[in-house]
Amino acid sequence: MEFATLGQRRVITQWVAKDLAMEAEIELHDTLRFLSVTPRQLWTRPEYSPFDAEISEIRFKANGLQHRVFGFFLSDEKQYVMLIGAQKKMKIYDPRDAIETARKRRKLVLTDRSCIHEYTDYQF
Amino acid sequence: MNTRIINSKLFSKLTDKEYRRLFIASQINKGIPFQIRALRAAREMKQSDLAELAETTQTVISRIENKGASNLTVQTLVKLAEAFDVALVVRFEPIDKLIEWVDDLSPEKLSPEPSDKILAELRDSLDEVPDEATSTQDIKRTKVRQRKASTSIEQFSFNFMAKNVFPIFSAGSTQGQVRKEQLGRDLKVVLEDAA
Repeated sequence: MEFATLGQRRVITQWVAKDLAMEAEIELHDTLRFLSVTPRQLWTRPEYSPFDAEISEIRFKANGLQHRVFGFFLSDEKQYVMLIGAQKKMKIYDPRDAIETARKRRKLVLTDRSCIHEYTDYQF
Repeated sequence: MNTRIINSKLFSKLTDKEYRRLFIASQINKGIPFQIRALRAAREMKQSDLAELAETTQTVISRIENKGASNLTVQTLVKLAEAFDVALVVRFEPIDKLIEWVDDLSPEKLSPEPSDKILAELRDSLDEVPDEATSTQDIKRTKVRQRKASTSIEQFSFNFMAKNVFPIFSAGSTQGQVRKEQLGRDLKVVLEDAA
């Protein structure tokens, strides 16, 4: 699942289309595809890591750059909501406020499920 | 290949040669580490257990799982397959075969059952007299099953012939009737003209 703004802007779809190079897009989509068939207890590093009590990150590397997708599992633990994508350079995220934005969006999702949509671009 | 796949965004991207190259490479580089972790978990193996079975070191297993499989030799893959008791398929294939594999990816495909178990299940599923049958009752029961199966195949053949084959031969003679005769072990199908 991915977060969509009030104006129905799907944030991950747009991030992939505007900010990711081809190699990064393929890395992200393969990571999502393999995670989607991996039992929840095997979501571990290097592809996944809890960030703190609220959010976690999907991790991948492409073109020599670390990339992160911040998100969280819905209470049923079966659906993962991607809130924002970012690049990580020397411990600094681009966009810089990625974590703050992720926290705000998580709160919105918890109060209003209509702001999430299925993300299927990694599938045929 | 179904229209859902062909109409997908991902399919159209694969028409780009560079995209295709990266996609194919990524299925190995990312897919093998995911499979190794899933297989290890299913077999309740630690990295060191796998390393011992595959005659390598825990460092090598850790590196594959964390850094990808792009530099793995086929020899290492063979040893890993042996350690997990699974088949290893390394060959050149048309792209549609890879697409189908990716599209059909599932937890079961990620972590296949051991070959020993699969072969035993296949053997057990065979509907024939077991070599180790100990009682005549076993054999009798099996023969009755086989006879029933054989009768249903004969009946199916007859129905198929009557419905699909004879109408073609007897075009223009729709009054004809189809009859079956048992001649010893053979089944004879006869088309009789009503006239």
